[in-house]
Amino acid sequence: MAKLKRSPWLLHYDGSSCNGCDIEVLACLTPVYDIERFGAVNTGNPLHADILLITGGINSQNQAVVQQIYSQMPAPKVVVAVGACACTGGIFKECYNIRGGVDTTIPVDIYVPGCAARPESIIDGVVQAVELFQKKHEEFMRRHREEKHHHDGK
Amino acid sequence: MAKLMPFAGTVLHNLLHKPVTTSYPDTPKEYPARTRGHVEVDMETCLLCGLCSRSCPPRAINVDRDAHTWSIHRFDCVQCGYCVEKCPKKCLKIVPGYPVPGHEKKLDIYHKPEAIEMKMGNVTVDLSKCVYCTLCAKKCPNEAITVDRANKTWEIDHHKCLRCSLCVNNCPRHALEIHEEPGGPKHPQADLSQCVFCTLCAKKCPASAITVDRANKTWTLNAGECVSCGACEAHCPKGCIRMLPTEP
Repeated sequence: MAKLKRSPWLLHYDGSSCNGCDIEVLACLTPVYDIERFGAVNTGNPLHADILLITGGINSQNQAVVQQIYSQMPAPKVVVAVGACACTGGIFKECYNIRGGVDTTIPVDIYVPGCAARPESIIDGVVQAVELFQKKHEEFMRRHREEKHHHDGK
Repeated sequence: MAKLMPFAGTVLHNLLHKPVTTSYPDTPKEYPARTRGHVEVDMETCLLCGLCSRSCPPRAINVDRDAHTWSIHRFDCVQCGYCVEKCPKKCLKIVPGYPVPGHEKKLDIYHKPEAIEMKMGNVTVDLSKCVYCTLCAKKCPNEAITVDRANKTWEIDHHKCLRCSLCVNNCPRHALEIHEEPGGPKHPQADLSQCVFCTLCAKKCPASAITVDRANKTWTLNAGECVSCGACEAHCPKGCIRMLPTEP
């Protein structure tokens, strides 16, 4: 568990985006931008993931999917909304099926602006997310120890 | 026959060349000069006409004429530059530099320093040229112009008019005109209690519109000749000349 905080795993989910931000997120995972430098590794399984990168807005079809993915991720978890659509709904916000940004469905920790979000912005967002994850992880472990101590004391 | 050490070339190349990975957070990214990063506003020239907010596809810009504010949701903006294209005063710019990611969605509010000052005069129409095409009324951002094609009337509400000059620029018959100054052109007026009748103003006047008589201590202006250049005001050693709008 102690090593976990230095290497959070990323899960990338595409909401109803135009794929612009997805391509930029994938560009970040290539050797050119390489966000693995910051200890974050891409995974395809929400059960293994610590940081959720969501691109695109939330529509009536993917709302349940996003909620399920979020619930499947183990605590502590960090959500990063990448791109204008994930932040607020962006250019699609007045469409009939769009509920709005990711924060309409699950709590969002970091917002990354841009249309499409630049790889540099995504790197900034992921670096912030890794820092936040480490903070959340310490908090989680402290509470875990306290509970264990309390339990053993009984 | 298998090649001897087939990977050696790649290894040598990797050893001798710089890594392909950017060192982004350590070395800041330099964007080209024409990158569309974020929108900047010059509140000095902004008229708060609201054309930018109306043209904004994600509705990121809000203009409040009553509170004298121009605000932009940075996390909504898609950097399309449509507002910059639409701005009649060219007070919006799209410049390099992307907004920074953060824990909150940022709303930037800009205040207009003073109350909206009408730096331009009224719009006037030459009805002999007007063909009542209604283009001016359609272009007007604040619906200040009413044109009735059937009854051949053209009306403007000067209180609603934003002095954006969009109607003037879009009139196909060049029938509309906007005055540069409120209340028409300015002319010099001399405060004769301070004047020493040095004649410098008369000498600097390019239109010879000022006559100064040192003997009789008179200062006269031929308003018809005056071109409102302000050279007399600039050269008066006593500061007794002021450019003022003509009295109606």
